[in-house]
Amino acid sequence: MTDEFDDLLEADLRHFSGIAGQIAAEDRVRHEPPAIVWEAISVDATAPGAVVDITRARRRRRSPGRRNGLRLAAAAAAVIAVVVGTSLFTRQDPTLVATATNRDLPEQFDGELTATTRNQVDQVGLALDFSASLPTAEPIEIWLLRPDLSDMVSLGVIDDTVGWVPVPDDIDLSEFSVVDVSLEPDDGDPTHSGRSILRGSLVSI
Amino acid sequence: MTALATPDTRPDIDFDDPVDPVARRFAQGDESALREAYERHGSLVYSICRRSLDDAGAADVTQETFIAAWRNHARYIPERGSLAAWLTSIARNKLIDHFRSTQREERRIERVKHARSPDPRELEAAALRMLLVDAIDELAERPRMIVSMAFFDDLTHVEIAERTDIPLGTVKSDLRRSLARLRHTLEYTDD
Repeated sequence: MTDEFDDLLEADLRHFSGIAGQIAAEDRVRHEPPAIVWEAISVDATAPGAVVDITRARRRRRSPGRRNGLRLAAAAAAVIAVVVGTSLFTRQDPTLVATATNRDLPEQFDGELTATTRNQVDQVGLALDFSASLPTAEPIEIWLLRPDLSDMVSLGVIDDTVGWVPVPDDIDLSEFSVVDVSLEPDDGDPTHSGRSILRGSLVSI
Repeated sequence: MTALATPDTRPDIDFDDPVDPVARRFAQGDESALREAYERHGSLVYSICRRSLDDAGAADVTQETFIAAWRNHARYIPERGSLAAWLTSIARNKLIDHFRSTQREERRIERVKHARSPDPRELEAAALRMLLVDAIDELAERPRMIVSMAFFDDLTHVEIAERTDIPLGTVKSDLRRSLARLRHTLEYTDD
């Protein structure tokens, strides 16, 4: 059984190594789209078909050698995030850090989480650094809570391999300032189980 | 120097379903998830498009991609792969459509030869590389190091354990979970 597992693992590794081996500088470049792209998408989401007509109209007016009307109407030029080196992460200002510790269930996890705000291109997120291996018997979920626990948002199910989770754009980290990690039964219930293994507040550094 | 722990051969509970909350809500048609999906994946889609098109063309195709994705949100099944993989597959098709339609139009007007439509297989390969760059970046430090040694130094899991003093069981567990996560991120199985 171990040999079979090893063979499958090695086969998987070779597959992804093949892709990784082809990674070039161009694959690390990320551009932010101009603001008008989202405007057009959100208009269509509320009135399907409207934006498509506008786009067709623009195309009919376009003549060879002239810029597409979309470009002239753009409020802001696309920002190029050219990445030098291996990381897509950028510093965020201000940087917030939470040291989440285990107060309720110390027998479940003997470690801490250091969560630090960090952007990936234009996406806000939290870099996660656990001081010990996470338990694997049950799913583990990470949350942002309001300090009075009146509201919370899940950032997803995580394990030892997760080093960063995105934070939804409409979540204000000064309001949802408590980072929480919980053990969650796999019962289809999306609400917090109440079994926190780590909790800590984001503070400015 | 710590003694190596007994390799842990107890199988972990298999959470080979690292579905993120945004993907679930997107599939369910929650409009806030459209905004989040765009925040999260808009730059990737736009950047893929910018490899073949100028700003304006890339903006057009990015817009068409997200509009089409949203209209078909019920067709996206999170268990089959990441939202990013699904979005990039839509983007690739839109890119090819875009080249076909502009060439038809401009050929009629000018009869000028334009750059060939990108090769679909090369588009797919490029998208996979870009998705992989993001996915490796998001790994925690130890699995990222182990994965990098496996991918870029061509080491086996046994060699990695020997060189790092990380228990073999931990190396295998990190690799297995990381590869499961990478597979989920990079691939969307259509079926």
